[in-house]
Amino acid sequence: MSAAAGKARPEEFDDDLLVIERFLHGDAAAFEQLYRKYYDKVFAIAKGVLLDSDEAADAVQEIFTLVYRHLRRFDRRSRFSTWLFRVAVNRSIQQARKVRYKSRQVPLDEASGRESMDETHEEPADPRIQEALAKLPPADRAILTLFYWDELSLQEIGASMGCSVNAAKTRLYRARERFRAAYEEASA
Amino acid sequence: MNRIPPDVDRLMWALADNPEPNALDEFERRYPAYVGELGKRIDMVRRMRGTPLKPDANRPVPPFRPVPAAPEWSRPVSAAAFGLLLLVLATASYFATRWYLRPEPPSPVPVVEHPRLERPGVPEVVYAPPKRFEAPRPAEPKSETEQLAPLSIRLERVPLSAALGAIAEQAGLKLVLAPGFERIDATVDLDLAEVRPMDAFEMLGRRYGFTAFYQGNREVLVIPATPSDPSAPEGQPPREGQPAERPDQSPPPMNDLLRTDPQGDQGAEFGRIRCYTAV
Repeated sequence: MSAAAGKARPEEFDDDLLVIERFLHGDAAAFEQLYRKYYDKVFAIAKGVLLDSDEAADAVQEIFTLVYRHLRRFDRRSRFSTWLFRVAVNRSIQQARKVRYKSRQVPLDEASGRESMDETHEEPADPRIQEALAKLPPADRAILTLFYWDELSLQEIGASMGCSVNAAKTRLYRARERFRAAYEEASA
Repeated sequence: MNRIPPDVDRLMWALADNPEPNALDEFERRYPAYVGELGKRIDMVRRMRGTPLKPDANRPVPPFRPVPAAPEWSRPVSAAAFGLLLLVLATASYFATRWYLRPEPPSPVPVVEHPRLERPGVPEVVYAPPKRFEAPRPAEPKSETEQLAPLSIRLERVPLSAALGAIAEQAGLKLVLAPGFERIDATVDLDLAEVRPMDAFEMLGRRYGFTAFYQGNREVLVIPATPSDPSAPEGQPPREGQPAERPDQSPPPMNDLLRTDPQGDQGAEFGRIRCYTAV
């Protein structure tokens, strides 16, 4: 079973729409519910693109601020999470281009304050991963983050990045090849 | 990795992303040459996924604090400030250019003060600046007609043409009478005293209707006036024995021509013409 097929999800009702309706009708706590629900994923996107925990935390606040102000513009043609990830990817890439991440390479584990504490994967964190990611352009880091860390399907990645499924598949393949080359270079 | 077939490459990535044991066994059986490469990719993907990107699970999610947006008035104020800055730069550029391109003021002559020599018994000599030399202006050259010498002549009861001829002869001029002059049939008495010849011609022309032109080279052309000529005498053409301008029987007028000596200062009378039509 391929990864894309394995991540394919049937169309189901978006529970977030009810929360959004509550928020739009004046329930401020409803947005806090959305914020807590998607904080980790948005943080992962921001950190995967920016490669810095502090900047990722600031970026998350900016991303949710944008969503907070423009939630009325959400047209409900896609899932809220897809729309949110698209905002997160675009904002993180913009921030990454602005910051021009170069020398400020804080190890991912050090920034997050834990090492090899992931409950799902017990493999130790590899500094070559961060080194290889740092060599990639922000768009490649974004698509790798969405696929490997946020575990989105190709359909969701395409919607989050504003492209078709095939385009997302091609972008992912190229980003993966560039990452492998950078990883092997770091391993050498 | 160009030597790896594309389908095998895609298959290896799929297995690396989702390494199911049965699928791995099947791949090892079918593509034993790429088992090593597949192992690298599986290890890389596993390490990549093992690198945590999510925040610390022990750390609570920070509260949502919206980032304050830029105030609404910031854009107009920024635009106004930018415009003001451009205006200031333009004004400064204008004055700087004007100052740079200003005309050079005339450089003053430096005043050098020499120490006065204090010598007993030596008189101080003061040199006055030399006055500007002004050459005497040459006198205006007189015209050729003015160079003709005044003449005095007295004639009684002679035809006008004869009178003009006498004047020209005495002045040394060649008189040319234009056709039509014979229509002027007049007999005149003439008394000239120190009168220039052209003045005499002019006076007589006014009275009897002709104009004398000095042609140069001591030649005078006399042209009678046509009836529409403003130089023609008023009233009827003069007839012999009748006053030219005064049809009534009043005494003939006496024409005095006074000229002012251009070189003199009191306007002394130096010529007189007495002319009247003989009755």
